[in-house]
Amino acid sequence: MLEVRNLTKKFGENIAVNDVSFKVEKGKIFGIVGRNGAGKSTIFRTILNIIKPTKGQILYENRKIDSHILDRIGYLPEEGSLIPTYTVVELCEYYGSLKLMNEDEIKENLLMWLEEFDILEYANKKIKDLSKGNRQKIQFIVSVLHNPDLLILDEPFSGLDPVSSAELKNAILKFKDQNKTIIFSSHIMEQVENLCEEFLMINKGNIVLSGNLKEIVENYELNGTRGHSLNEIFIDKVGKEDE
Amino acid sequence: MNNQKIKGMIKFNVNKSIQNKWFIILNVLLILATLISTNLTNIKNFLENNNINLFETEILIEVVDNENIGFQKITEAFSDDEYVEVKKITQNNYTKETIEDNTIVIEIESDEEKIINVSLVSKEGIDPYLYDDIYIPLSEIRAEQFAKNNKIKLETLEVMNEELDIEILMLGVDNENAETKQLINIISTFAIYMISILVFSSISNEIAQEKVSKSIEYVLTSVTAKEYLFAKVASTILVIFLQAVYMVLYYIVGTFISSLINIVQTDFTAAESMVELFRNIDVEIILYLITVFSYALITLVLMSIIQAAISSKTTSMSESQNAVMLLSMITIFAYFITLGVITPETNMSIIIYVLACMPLLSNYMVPAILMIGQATPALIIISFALLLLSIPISFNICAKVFKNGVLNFNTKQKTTKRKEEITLKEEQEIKFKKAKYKKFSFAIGLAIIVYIVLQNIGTVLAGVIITPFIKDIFNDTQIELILSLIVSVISLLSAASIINAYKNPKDKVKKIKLKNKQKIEIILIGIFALLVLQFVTSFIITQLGIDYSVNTVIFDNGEKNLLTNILTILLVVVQAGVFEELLFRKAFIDYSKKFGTIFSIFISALFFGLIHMNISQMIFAFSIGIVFGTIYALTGNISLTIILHLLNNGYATIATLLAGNNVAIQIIDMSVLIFAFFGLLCLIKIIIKNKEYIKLTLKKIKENKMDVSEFKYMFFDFSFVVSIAVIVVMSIATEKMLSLM
Repeated sequence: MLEVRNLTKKFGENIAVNDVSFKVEKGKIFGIVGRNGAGKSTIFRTILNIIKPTKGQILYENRKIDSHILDRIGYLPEEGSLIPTYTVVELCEYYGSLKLMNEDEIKENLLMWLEEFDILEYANKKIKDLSKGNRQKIQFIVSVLHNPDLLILDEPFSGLDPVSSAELKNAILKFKDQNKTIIFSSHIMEQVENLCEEFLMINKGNIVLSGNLKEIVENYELNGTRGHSLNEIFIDKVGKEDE
Repeated sequence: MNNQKIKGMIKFNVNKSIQNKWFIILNVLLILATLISTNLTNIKNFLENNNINLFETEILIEVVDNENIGFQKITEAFSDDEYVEVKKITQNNYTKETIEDNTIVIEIESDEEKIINVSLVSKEGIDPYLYDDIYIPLSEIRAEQFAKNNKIKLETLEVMNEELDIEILMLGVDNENAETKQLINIISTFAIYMISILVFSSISNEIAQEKVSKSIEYVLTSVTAKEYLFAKVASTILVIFLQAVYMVLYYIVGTFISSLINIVQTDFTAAESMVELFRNIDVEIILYLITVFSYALITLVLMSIIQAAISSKTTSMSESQNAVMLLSMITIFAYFITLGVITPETNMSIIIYVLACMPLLSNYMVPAILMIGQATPALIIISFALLLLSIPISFNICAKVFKNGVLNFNTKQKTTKRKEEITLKEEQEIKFKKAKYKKFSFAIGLAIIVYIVLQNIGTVLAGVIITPFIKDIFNDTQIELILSLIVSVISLLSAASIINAYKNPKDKVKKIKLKNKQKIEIILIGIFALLVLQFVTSFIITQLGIDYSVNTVIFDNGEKNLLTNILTILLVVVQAGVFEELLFRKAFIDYSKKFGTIFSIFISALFFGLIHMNISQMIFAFSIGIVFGTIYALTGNISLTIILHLLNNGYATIATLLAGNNVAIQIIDMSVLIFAFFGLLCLIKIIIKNKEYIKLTLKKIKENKMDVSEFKYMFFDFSFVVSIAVIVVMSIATEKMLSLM
């Protein structure tokens, strides 16, 4: 469904992403793991057409990404995309209008998701008055408001307490059940192990591991033994690359 | 571009701005203000509380007119008014108690000089409308009386009373309606300036808000940067114009209420009144109005686009506020340049025409040129075409800048190729060093700037504040001396305290304890050095031909008496001696010693020289700065250099004060020579006796040496560069002035 071919992105002389290729199947959850600054956000930004790739191609259902396809993609940026002085409703109206939704669609979807997270009472509160966990929930709502086919989540779990994390995880799974595709990045390996089927591990812009998560975790040999957690594999793989 | 999305964004932005409590509060205030300004007379009447309502209360006017010169006229004047009754009486017998609220007594009698004498008697103030109604027949009575007395026709008198009408014709200038045009120009400039500030700050705020909150990243997944920029600019301008529409509405309501209160029956409808209004306006004025406002409007759009691009580069809300100032400053600048350049006397050159064609400038220059009747059709067509063309061009350019700015992708990371041998740590060390120099040069630059400003403005300020109190005690020369004394001390101390505030308390020259004998020896050596320098520098100065003997200028004007002499000595000797030492030796060297002893001596002497502002003094001041600096840097005793500085300045001052008395001067000169001779002996003695110590000191100085290549870091600071530039400019000006004297 989504295919990234030989993606390379340079900022000046800095290579942020180096020759990355992967495929995401419809209805699956795909994880990208890597350290801070490994190039995860850059991959997402190039997929979303915010920045242009230096080299490579990105295809969605075998078509280049244009504004029509972008309208079918939902995005949760890493560092908060909520205007603090807006209320939740205003924000959704604003973002909804950018996705060409009308008032009724916005109202219906917003109320549905607010109910799902059990935060209906925050609908008319300003973003700046919300807690970090609730803000992240609103952010998730904003990104799925227009019922996209592909959802891109950049570090959705960062800074969340265990309860909020679990709520968000359930919401993601619920969204996936509607036959939607989800790509998400994280540096919390447990979340990746719990959610993903396919995954990609990158370090300093280069792919170090990729494929079916279960197979890789089962077959990875570390000090001659098998059956290690993804966390151990990550430290082994990324730590080695650093040296 | 996706029209649907742009429309959605504009709709959202406009709604958000208008359905906002601040917009409502502002508009409630605007309604009040418009209502008040359109109903000023009504409010005034209401507040004065003496509104005998002309249309309801009956008013009795009693006329005392025993010569029978005006009663008839007054009766006629009020004959239509059913509420006013006019009655003739023979005498006014009313008192404070007996007069009624609604009674007015008019007493008329003829008078030789004033033609008629009139007095109005009433209980309280008279309504201004009623007063006008009474005034008109009375002035007619006066005119009649005057005509009768002088035996001229009333019509002749009326002709004389008309204002002198002078027709102005300037054949060289197409000057029709110049005043109206000027008015339109001023109003439009002012209006556009206010509107542009509103638009800029609104655009800037919204962009900064969305950028700072990073919501822009989400927004840009839905719309392109171009669409976003377009929607932002369009919605902001739309909001401002909606506001204008609201204000027109308030004005209409205000006038309606005003006419309701006054119950003035108007005979004509609004359309008729418009016709009435426009019949009197020239077509040319209308054309001018349209030109001015179309230029202004398009320029506003252009500036808004540029403002959006500028604002996208800001990283915080406060920065975005400052970014607004940038463009509005430029527009003000353009306005004043136009005011200065284009006047009716201006001979239009091709350069002015070219300038006038430039977008941004054309907004001000074309109407101005049009106003003085010098505009050619080509100018208007070209400038308007360029202005229109500049919109899509600037839009395309700004959209790129905007996207990079708003996403912070100016991260074309400075990959300054490090030389292989410099490690990362060394690079960081260099950065720290730069910062250290920058801080130092900022402190010096600021101190010098404050010194120069206080020196120049301080005299005026001190003059205004102090002169009135001391003008009876001292004469003009003395007051001048006192003022310069005060100002010099304050400016030197301020500069020193700025440097002291910036330096670390640990930055200090270590004070060496000296015996009295050693101190005297050092002073004698100093005298010797000064004498040598005096000879050398005066030789150089004479060779260069720049000797203007500045010192003597000060004393030659004004009479000489004891008090003046004392003040002169105080000014030149104490002020210069003590406070200059505190600034240039103590503050400068204390702070800069950590950069190297030689550097600190050099930099203090350099600035000591520079602030003297003319070459001949600069050379001498620099060289004695080196001597004094060395003494202070080595011993840490500021008192030694103060004494030497006092002696140096004292010698020059006394020599000028004693001018003419050859014997006294010769005695002083002789003693100086003797002291210098002893100084030479001391120097030789010290050199021979303390060979080891001198070697050690020289070694220390060598160790504490700065890398000359680091000196360039000083120039990385804005204040430092500015202070140097100012000194250079002022020096050149002083030099020029002196050479003309």
